[in-house]
Amino acid sequence: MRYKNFKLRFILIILFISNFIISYCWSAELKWPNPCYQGQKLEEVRTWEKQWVGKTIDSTNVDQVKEFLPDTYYERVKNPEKWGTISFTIVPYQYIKPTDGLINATNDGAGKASVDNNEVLHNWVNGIPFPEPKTGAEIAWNFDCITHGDTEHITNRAWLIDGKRKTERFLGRVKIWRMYFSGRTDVQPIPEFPDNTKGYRRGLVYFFVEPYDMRGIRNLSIRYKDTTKEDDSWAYVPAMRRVRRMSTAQRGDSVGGGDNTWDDTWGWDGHIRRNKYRFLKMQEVLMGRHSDKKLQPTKGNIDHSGTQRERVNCYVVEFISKDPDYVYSKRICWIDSETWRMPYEDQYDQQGRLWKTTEFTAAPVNAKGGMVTTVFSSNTIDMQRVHATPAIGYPQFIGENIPPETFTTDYLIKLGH
Amino acid sequence: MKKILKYHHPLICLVLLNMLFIMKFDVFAKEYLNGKLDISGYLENFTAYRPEKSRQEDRGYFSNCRSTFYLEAGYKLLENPRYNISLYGTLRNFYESAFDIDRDYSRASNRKDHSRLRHENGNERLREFYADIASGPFQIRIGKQVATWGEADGFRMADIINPLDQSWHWTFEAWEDLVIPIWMIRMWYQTKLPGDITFEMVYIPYDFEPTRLAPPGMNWGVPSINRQFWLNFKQSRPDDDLNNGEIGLRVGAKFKGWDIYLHDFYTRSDDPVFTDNAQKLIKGVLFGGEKLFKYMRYNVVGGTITGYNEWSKAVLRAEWGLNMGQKFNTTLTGTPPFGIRSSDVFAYMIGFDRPTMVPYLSAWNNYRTVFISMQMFQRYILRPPPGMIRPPDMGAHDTTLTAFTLILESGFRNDSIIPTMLVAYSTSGWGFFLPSVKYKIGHNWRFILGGSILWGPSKTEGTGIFRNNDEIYLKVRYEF
Repeated sequence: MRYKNFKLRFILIILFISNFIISYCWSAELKWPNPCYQGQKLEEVRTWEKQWVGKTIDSTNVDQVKEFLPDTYYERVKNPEKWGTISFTIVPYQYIKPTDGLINATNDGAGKASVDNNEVLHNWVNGIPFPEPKTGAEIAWNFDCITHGDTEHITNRAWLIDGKRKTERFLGRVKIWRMYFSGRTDVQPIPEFPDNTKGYRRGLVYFFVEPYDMRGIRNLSIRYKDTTKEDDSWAYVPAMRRVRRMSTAQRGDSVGGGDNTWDDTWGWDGHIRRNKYRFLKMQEVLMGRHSDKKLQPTKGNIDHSGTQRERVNCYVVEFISKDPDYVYSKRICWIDSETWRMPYEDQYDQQGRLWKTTEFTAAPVNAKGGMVTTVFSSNTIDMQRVHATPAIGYPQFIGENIPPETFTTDYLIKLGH
Repeated sequence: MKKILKYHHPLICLVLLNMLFIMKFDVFAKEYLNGKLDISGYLENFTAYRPEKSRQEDRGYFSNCRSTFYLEAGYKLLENPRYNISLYGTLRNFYESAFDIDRDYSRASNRKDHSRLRHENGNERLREFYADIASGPFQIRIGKQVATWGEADGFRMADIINPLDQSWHWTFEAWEDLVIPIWMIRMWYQTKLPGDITFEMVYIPYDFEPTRLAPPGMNWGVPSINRQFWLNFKQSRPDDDLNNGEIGLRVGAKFKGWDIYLHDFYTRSDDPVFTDNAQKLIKGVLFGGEKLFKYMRYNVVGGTITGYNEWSKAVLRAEWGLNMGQKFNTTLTGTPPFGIRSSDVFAYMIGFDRPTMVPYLSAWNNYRTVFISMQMFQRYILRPPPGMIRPPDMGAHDTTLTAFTLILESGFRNDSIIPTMLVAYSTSGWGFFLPSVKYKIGHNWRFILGGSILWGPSKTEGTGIFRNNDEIYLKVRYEF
């Protein structure tokens, strides 16, 4: 009996010590935030930049930076006769430090979160759940959990470009309000609204301003903390003067006739559990992270010209849809390891053929407790039809609380005419 | 030249305005005064043509040639953290030239009626004008406006606050063009009670407008209503005074993902009943000037419920209404004056909306969904009095009306081409089919080519009353 007690105590002590050592080592190893480049690698990048910064890249010299471009983007720059003239300028890499709130939340929660086999996240409160991700699913959750300043109000203008006919049509202007109710890191209340009894994760309002036939449509969608619960969505339809409940089943449907779908917003705006993920590789790519120019599309040119691109170390992750009837079979996504935005993705159709690519160029703006990046321009290109939907973003504010009642159906009714 | 200006001035305006705007790149809704004032609108020509001239009573080819100017403006008067005040207004005027271009149509109808329907009348040009005052959970909206409570498309159980203008294209136009705004006060209060309970109150102090119908001889005039009666409808309209007061309360809540609303509205019927006073009738017929119709009061209790169903991936909608003490004429005496009796009427609608990927179509429309919306509607007249004259969409002896609607809509070529189809069918045999295709060209121009096919076994029931009015139409709209 005595011997047994001693044995038990011994095991417990060993367990305690080993647990202590593991957790100490973990915290000692965790260095977050992680800039894309540090030390010798940074010096290497700076040396490369001496040759390239300030240079304009177009079809004549794109071969020299091919290794830093996704194949689909290279293909468009290289072939102006098909895609129109595309050029960009190389700028130096600049570190974008996360906000103080995000750093604190990430360090506080480090090592606690986990993802199960169904891609469901557990034990996460706020911040980046996996500061040093090992799997595709962990990278995807990092991308999903970051709140980019907790609140955002932005105006978007979008066009439709037909590359074959060399025509363009103004698609519309929309005002967007986005606010996180939980998982907040930067704006009080942190991490969650105290009276969030309905378990909201995020509220999103689209208000269509132009053209006239879409004017006044207000779309409200609510995402819940419970990732097994579908979003709720309503729209105020001015022609009927009423709020209609909307189905959220078809997130693969086009947004207002554009080439992008509801799920394509910010790269991927669906539930993380809807895909399987495969981490493919790390790749250094030239992406627009300090590109705040208003890049108005030019007639017949499929892609933006004039973006400022810097070398960024990205995770390349394959998002494979679990739903065989979904419009895309898979996406190849480049995710910035520093800002956790998705600057570029390739989307494949149900037959596995390349269908579209979507790019987001962003720039840092002032927010509470530091800088956060926001999207200044985006472009979804239908590679099969040679058709595109470029958009320009005009940030109105980031990190200022939006009254929670903005995200209610009654507000839609009261605001409607 | 004078003739050209007289008959075609709306079209000329349209062309001139286009010449002004076409020079600019994006001419859409304009915001002024740092976004406080925004103005938008459109110019439109709507021409409807009937291929079978011989089958119509008026023998005309053109049923409509209506040019419309529409302007909408909103102004944020005051914005601060404690309260906001904003103003909103819409102006509309039109010129109907079908009588000018089609002599047969002109001859079949009364000349005096042409001027009534040729353009928007006086004060009606200011369609809406109201002020919104919002402070925290409380909001009040005062002015000429539209209040919508229903969930059903085309069937009115809850949407009875504003009357309809059925005089120019029956009920085949968008709700915002059909509805007649009236002066009222609306108030909302959002509580913090469980279920997000909200209260809405509507009070119409004095303004009363009946359903607007076309006079006989006009394309959409109801054949069973002769001209003398039609004129008397207008004469019988109660004067604007506080006796016209209508009041309603609506309570809303969210429960387990369902949006639930209940309402009560004490109203005056938009459709009249014929007088039961013999002396009045004789005097009115012999000397005129008497009000032969009454717009009687009744109470409506109803509700709506909507929610998203995960299994069917559809939005389910339901609406119901119980009209308590609604007044109907009876033919007990066999001859006018008819009697007036009360009856309760219960109606409900159940329906669903589902955007659906159609595999075959997806290859054609770049994976745009087809919006499918279906409704079933039933109305029961509870304990109908003997000899009761039924509403015009029901048979002479029916106590139940059952009808179905189906709407299909999708977009092609990035929504520059939008085909839509609406079918309605009643089990008593009447129905209609409204196909249309919208084509968006450039930034401002919109073309809609559509048509209507109407049928019914009886010339006095449902859309059967217009069964010879099948038409094709073209709408040309310049939006700004």
